[in-house]
Amino acid sequence: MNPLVPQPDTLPAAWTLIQGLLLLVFPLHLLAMNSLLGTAAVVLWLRRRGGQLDLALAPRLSAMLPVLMALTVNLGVASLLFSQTLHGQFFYPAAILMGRFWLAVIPLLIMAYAGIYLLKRRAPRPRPRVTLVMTGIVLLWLTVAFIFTNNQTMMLNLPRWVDYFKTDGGTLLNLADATLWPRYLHFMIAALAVGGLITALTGRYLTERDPRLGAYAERLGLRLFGRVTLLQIGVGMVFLWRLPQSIRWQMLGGSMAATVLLMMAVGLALAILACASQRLTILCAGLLVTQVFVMSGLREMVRHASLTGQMRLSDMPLAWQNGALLFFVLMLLAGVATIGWLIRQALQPAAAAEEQEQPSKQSRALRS
Amino acid sequence: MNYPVWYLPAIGGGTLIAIIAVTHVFISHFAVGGGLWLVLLETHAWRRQDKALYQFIRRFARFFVFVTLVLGALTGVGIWFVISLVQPAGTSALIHRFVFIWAAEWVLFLVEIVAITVYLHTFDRLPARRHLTIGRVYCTASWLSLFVINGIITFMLTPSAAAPTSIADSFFNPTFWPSLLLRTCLAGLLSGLFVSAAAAFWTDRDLAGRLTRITASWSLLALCGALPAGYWYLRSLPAPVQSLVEGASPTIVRTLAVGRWAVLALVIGLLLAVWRPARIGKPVALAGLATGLVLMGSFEWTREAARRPFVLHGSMFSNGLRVDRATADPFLPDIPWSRATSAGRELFKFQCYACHTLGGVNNDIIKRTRGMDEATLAAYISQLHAIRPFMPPFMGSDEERRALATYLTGLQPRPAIPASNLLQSGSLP
Ligand code: HEC
Repeated sequence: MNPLVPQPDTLPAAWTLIQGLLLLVFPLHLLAMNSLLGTAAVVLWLRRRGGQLDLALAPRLSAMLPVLMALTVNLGVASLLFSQTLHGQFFYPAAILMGRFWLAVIPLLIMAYAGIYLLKRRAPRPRPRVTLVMTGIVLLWLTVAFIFTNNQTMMLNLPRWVDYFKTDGGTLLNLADATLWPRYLHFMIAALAVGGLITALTGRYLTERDPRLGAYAERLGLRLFGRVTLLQIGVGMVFLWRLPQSIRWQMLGGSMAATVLLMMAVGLALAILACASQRLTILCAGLLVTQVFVMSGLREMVRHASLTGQMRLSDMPLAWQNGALLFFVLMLLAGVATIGWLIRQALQPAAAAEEQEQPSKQSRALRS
Repeated sequence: MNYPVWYLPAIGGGTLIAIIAVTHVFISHFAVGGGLWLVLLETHAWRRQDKALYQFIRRFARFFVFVTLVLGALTGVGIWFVISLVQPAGTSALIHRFVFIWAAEWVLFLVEIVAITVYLHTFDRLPARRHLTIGRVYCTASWLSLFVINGIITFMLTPSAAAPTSIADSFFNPTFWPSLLLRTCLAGLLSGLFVSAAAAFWTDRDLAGRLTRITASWSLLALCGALPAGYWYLRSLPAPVQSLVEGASPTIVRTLAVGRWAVLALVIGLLLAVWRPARIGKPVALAGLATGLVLMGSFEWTREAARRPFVLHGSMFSNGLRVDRATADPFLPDIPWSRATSAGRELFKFQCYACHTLGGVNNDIIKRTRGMDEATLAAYISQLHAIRPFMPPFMGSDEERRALATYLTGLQPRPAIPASNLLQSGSLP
């Protein structure tokens, strides 16, 4: 074992259970992040196209950005929490070696958020200015994503760690890693695809109220989605090719589970392409969500395979925290129920809500 | 300890933590109290059919969401990022102990996000009672998130007496309840200050005056609650920590003095606001907010400083070293992340840098060792913990101790050599 890897702390529950929790929340984080970044990219694209429908669609899409950003951060928290519990001994050194960049994530995200807010508050502004701010936001997020990719690959790239003996100010990145760029591209293209899908779904939602805009958005979104997914298959193959041979081998027959997951992913990608061409938007979305879960599983296997020899589960101390686990599960159930109720309130048509609780004339007066 | 140290000798990790943490604490206490204000004021507006107030609430809700929803979350994540970088060993220990508690906290954050977003977007759509219920869901979730994080923060300072402890004992540790009460009061105070600041920017001066009076009275009440709660908190601290707070630590004494001035200024300002609300313009309201920030900052700084020399009280020192480590064994051979060359620098980095900078603003060791020669310093280092209990003992061999002393004295600015000496030694033509 590499002497630079710290001693792992005691696990509070079986490894597989926490891994399961990570595999529940991380795909959701990816989906939120993809929606955020992809939607912003689509908005930018629409602004460049500048047609009448494009400009009508753009604000509808950008209105979603603040909540998407809140969800992305929130789900990221959960993912990082479980990931730090599972592989903290690799995560902390990797983060420290790139400390300046890692910490820079926070101000970069705050700047991006300020940008979205600026757009939201002062919507009717000269167009070039709006486009400029939006470009800035997208660039900030791309930078943040790049930092994360560096961190996640640095965790696995132990030979790089010895560069700490030359520089200890947190200025290292993992640029020489062969998997870095394909991996980054893979994630960013996924974001673009999801942006297309969100556009199509928005179109679907708009169809009732504004058929022309709705149909336009759906068509545009699906077209983008299909093309980008085609490109993604190519990038995915490059990524696979750049992985160390032993790991690639596992997915190509060496490990049953990894091979099955890879086959599923390829099958899903083809199914998604077929759906996109047939305009089956909702089915497309369902398949894509499944795809992200499958891919996250595959990613977790790659991580494991990369750390063979550095981490033996049997060596990791374990002391079950049954009470705390139960508390979390109960909180999760109560939380999900509450969120379900809240969303029902939000979606309920105003008329239905009024019927249940007769509003007084006064209440109308107050709001008018 | 087997983690690398992110070495920024001129700034110091502690400074970074302090900046981010104080910002976050300021925003998050606003997030806890602000929801309550929204619900209270909205109820008030409905009862009195106060249209002007209702308009204000809608605008204020938007401001509230902007400040707390993402900024609160991001600065919170910021604390976590920075402690992972600066205190990896302590962070890892905490995460492994409390991962499910933190996960429950995460669920509460998610509920908060959804609740406040729905609240903001259903002002016109839902009947009053339903809308207020949504506001109450937000309030409950945000106060519970304070409840949960409070257990973890207080654990760092006062892990419960009996060891080894269950998670429940660690969570409901000796300062849990006083700290919860204190923080709840501070949340009420800070959010009140935020509402008055927003009111000061409101054009309807009549409404602004009324709002200022209400919020100032409630903030005053919260402040009055915070004082006994703070006293109770202090009394619940273990004796060595209490003695640090009461004078054994010069940094804490300075910080507490600042805190006392802030309290005094707030009492005067709030009384003025209750008495003559029309007097409270933008500058005063903003100054009030800034004073709140100072008060919060001095409380958090004291709490952090009072934990010295530990990051986890009683088990891990601030520099990440475990308490049960033997002090006289050679240190560096045991640290895989240390460089083989420059022993003095590495010893400073792995043992002192957690609290000292080199030439920085925060606790500059060059300034602190001024006037000590090598032998004095080496002797001092062997007595660090005995002389100054807020410092951990030096860990390492005698040789390493001398190497550290040599390194630190070598950093002292050289006294300028008087020109007359130069003239004397040179041979004049
Ligand atoms: C837990 C935090 C902490 C650590 C770790 C720490 N110190 Fe200190 N040190 C302090 C504080 C706080 C002061 C006092 C600051 C003040 O006076 O305001 C101090 C003061 C000093 C002084 C000034 C002498 C005095 O009595 O005021 C010296 C010398 C010193 N430290 C040396 C060291 C050395 C050498 C190390 C590493 C082996 C070290 N410290 C590690 C917190 C720490």
